[in-house]
Amino acid sequence: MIKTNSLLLRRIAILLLYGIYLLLFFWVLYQDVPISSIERWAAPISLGLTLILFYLYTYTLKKTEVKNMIRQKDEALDERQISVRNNAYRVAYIVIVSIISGLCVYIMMDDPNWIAQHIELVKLIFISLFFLGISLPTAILAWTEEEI
Amino acid sequence: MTRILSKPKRRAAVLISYTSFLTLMLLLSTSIELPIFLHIPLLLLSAITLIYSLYYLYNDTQLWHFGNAPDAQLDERQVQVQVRNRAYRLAYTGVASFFILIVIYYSFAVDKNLWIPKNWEEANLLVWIVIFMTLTLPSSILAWMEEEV
Repeated sequence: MIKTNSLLLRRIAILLLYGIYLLLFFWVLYQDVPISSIERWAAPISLGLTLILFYLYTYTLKKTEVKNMIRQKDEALDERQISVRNNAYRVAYIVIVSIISGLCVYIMMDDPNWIAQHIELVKLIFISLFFLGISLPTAILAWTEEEI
Repeated sequence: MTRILSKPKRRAAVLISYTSFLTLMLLLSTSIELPIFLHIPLLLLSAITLIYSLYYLYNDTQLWHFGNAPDAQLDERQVQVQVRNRAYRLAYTGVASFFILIVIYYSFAVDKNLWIPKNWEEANLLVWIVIFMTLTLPSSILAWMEEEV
């Protein structure tokens, strides 16, 4: 059975989803900083945040029409659903291309050996782009649509 | 006046533009070392081919406008908006898949000492390829797929 969540609930979940992701990003990025008290708590707190993130994602989107619309082929959706879904993809494309272009310009203007010198950061950026890539259309759809 | 190109011509122009762009980028990078008498003509040829193919594809046609104009500037029946957004969906799927592959490759490359950009020329090459591909992809998909553009 398809579940429905209110627009407000969906928006709160999405804000928390990306907020927690950003927290995890900086946590992982700076975990080599030699502050023993933070290092001691980094692993359990990261695990806890990941679990919250996973719960938010599944609770807000699993078995809802949002996830259904993103997954289904055109034949299984009506004209309005196709239109709304494809528009979400267009907005997601513009967002992700702007982020990628911004990163590219930054890399070009910075040190020539930037990629080789920041291997851990580049790994994190790629993982974040991967996370954005799989979650963004669903998040845009959940954020913007009143009637789903 | 708007120029209309047939689908085979559009497809050929898309293929030629991407091929010439990749050739140009490879020739500009230091990783390929050809004799100078071969390098300069090939460089000029790929640059001219790229400019001409883009000019042929986008000048006086609706393709660039169709791919990038705001919704309000497309037709009232929303048909163009739907066709355009479908192209964006495919482009998004392509870009997201590309980054998934990069994540997988990069995670192996660092540990197994495979190729990653180590100097300015190699990083520059990748950056320009990504910028060119992402900016032109929706319009190229429209040019490739649509019957009547």
